[in-house]
Amino acid sequence: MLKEIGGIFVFLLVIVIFGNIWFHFIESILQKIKKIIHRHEKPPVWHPLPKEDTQQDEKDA
Amino acid sequence: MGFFGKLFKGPEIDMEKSNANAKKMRQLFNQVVENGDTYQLIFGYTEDVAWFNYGFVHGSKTQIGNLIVGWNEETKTIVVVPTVPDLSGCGDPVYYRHSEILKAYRNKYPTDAFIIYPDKKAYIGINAYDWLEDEKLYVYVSQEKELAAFTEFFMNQYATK
Repeated sequence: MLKEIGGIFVFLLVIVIFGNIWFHFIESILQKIKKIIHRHEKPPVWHPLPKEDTQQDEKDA
Repeated sequence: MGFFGKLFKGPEIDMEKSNANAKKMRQLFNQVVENGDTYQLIFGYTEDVAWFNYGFVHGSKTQIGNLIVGWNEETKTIVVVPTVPDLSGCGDPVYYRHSEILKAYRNKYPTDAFIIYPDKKAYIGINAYDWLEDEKLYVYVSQEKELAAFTEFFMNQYATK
């Protein structure tokens, strides 16, 4: 009885692990395709928080 | 207060951290928006839910976009600035002037979001809460009064229906 329960548990575990690997595998392929398609587009403009302010906040903390 | 009192009280807000983040939000906002001080600010976020089907694996992915939302009652303008949970930077602002938008309303289902349609093709759904504990996903800021003020402005002056 315990062996059967253990077998079912291992079987489900294998399915979950394989499902996760499959999901990340497909996602990585789709990401690479998206990068190739959008390679000529300019990345969105980004304004970083001024460093002085960040350092001052860290000192205050 | 005893152990069980603290246990049932729930999580407490770290006001020092919240105030520091509110200050950073203001700095970022004023950096990219002209006359930024004339706007009141809250933190909001967008949710982008995408369904996927990769053969035997299928489900949904939710992407959270953090926003600094500013509003000016005189000009009836809402400005949305994309940012990240640690407030290390921000993107370019998007202006939603009341005179230029197609429609705006408060959604009830599936989420209690503020919806703005700048035109027929696109819309933005802004979700906002008093405080969100998960620092990895959201900006850690307590904003009960600010959210109440924004809700009043949106419902009484900005919404189109």
